[in-house]
Amino acid sequence: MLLEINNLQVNYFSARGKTPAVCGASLAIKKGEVLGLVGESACGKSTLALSIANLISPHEGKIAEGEIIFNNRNLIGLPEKELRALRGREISYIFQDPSSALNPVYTIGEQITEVLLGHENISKESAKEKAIQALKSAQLADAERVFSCYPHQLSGGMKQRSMIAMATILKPKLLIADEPTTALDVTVQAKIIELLIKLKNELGLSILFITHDLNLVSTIASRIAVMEKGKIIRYETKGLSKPAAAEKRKTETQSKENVLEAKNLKKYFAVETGFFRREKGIVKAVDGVDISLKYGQTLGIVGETGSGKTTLAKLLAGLYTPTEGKIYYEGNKKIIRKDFQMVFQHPFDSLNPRMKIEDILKEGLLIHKIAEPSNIKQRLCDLLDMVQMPKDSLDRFPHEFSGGQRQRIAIARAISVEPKVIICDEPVSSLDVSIQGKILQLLLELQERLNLSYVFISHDILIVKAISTTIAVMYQGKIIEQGEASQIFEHPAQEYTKELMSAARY
Amino acid sequence: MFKNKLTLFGAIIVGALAIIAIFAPFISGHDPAAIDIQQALLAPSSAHLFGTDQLGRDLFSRIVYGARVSLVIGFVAVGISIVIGLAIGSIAGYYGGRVDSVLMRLVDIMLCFPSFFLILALVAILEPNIIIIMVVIGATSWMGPARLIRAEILSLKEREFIQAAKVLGASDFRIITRHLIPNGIGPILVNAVLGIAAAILIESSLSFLGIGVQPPSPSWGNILMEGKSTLGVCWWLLLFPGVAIFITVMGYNLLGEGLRQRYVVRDK
Repeated sequence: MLLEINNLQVNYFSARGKTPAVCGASLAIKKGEVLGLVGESACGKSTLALSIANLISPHEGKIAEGEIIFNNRNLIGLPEKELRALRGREISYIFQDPSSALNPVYTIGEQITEVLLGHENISKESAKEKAIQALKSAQLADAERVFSCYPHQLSGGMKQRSMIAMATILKPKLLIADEPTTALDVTVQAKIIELLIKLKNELGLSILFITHDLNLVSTIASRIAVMEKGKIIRYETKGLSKPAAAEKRKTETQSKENVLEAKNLKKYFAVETGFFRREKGIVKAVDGVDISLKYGQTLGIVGETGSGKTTLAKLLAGLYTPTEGKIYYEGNKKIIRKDFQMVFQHPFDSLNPRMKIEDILKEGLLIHKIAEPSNIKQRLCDLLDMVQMPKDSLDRFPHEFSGGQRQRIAIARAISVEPKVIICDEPVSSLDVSIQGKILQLLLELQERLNLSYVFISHDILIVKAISTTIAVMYQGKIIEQGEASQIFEHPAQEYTKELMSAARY
Repeated sequence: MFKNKLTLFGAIIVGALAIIAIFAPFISGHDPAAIDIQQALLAPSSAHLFGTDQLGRDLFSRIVYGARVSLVIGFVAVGISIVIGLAIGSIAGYYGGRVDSVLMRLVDIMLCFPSFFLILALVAILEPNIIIIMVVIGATSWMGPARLIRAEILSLKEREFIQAAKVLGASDFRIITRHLIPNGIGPILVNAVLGIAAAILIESSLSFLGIGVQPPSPSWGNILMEGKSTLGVCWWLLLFPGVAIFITVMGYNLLGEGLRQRYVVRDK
């Protein structure tokens, strides 16, 4: 065994006393093995990772109990000087967000050579040589240029590659990767995973790969440890199941009429700079989009960050006025507000924190005078019932609910005014994997029951496929491919679509 | 809540003042307006705790009733400034663009006037009474709350729950009053506590100059003014109202500063 953690307990200090983050976790990693560590947010994964090389700040928390045996040596209680020699040389880390893990005032080269000069007694020239070599093996084509770049001059993927080069330059025995691809675009994610696998084989690394994404981890890890509430609750070998809703296909609907249609839709934003707000240029967020949605169907829109999906959603929901082009709502140019609702991406931001759930759900009913005052309470209970939330939620405030529950409330708010279309902008992407499936299931049930039509926007082509009748692939403000869901999935015409799909399979 | 001893001290002063003002008739022991020339200018004694003034009125009860005047003016004036500030600031922040530019330039212009002289001028033109004073103080101190609420709304209006309200069909008025202001009011309320102290100081100054609260209504400022003529002989006529103003303003400032550190600074 390279690393063995036994009964680890880590507490954080807070105003109310000690908060346990890891409570009696045990795990082991063999030499040359990739161990996946999955769990929902706040289950203690990152704390576990940080405590391996004792990176917990003494002002914030403390390892209370347990042992961490690395290479037959217990790391707990080791003097700081010896730990420092271990970090980088034997155990190294890659973090979630490369933009905040790299120091913005030093070049990539300076930061990588610092690692070498700190651990090895070598000259600056040979350090530079080694650093460029490491950048090359991290598959950065233009290694010399990257060496002299500052972090802000590089893309997210390139920064993460540089981080990987930095973490592996001393050929450590253990690499701890804490959500290394979460902050990156899906297409870049796949390539980073490939790189990690390649380096593992070349250098004989053991990797502790931490993520909340089951699909991702099963592509790289041979064993997966599942963590919950500070404990490792079970191990799994490859092949965890996908969310249940993913398998459920939409029933065919015969309707031919469009409930929502956009023609040559464009939205440009002016970029203003300087003191006098001169226009410096324009961003074409949505650049000539034609889409249509039939009654009772679901139009899935898929694309990566920055492709203009959210702008398109806001245009369709009437929150933005288009620069050019027309939107027809049931054939009319004017939107009937109550018929077109929206569900937003961040359930922690989309509910007014100062309002009780009752007031949040009641608002639409009052504005559109949908229920008689005497029936409002009953109607609210029905709504909660439809989204499978208990009735006593009415008296509570949003902060008392989890992300998934809040998203259910947001969905209840959207259906409260009896809409015909709901525009869902990444409705599950900020939720934990285990909740995603349930929310998708709920959306499908409501569609059937209330005869809703959806525009469903996501960066994850698997989720879009699970729920959509037709799919449109968006890239740089344009729809580059659209058609029946099954057809797009089985016979993608565009290279980019194929790339999205192979990225999703990871 | 009261980790900081000074904040606790401020809160105790503010609470005690409120009790004194509310129960003034029971605390004072004398009628503050009862004139008795034979008892004029008595030094503090057990019969008259703070002594008496030129007309033989009991100074203690005049100061106790003066607390009522000061607090009412402080609260109402700040209330007026918040109402004006919220209206102008939230309209500027929510609509942005040209509306914002015009309203914020108005704020800049208002801030250019030396506000005390503006108040002096206004009160001199209008007939000085307690209502005019409150309105004038309120109407010249709304710029701070306006800027604060505008800044809050600028960041709040991009949040998803505001977009959600728009999609639901809520009117601008509803979005501003039900969603934006309740979420952005915190810093304004904290600021208001400090504003009360400032308003009380302005009222005292005006009354001292004789254009504030008019005799025979007792106000700490006009008690000071009346005591000015016997300066050097009857120390109690200057000491007690002066100390009352000092303690009150200090109490509100300590409480306000404590709240600011607790709620506004930590939020950021």
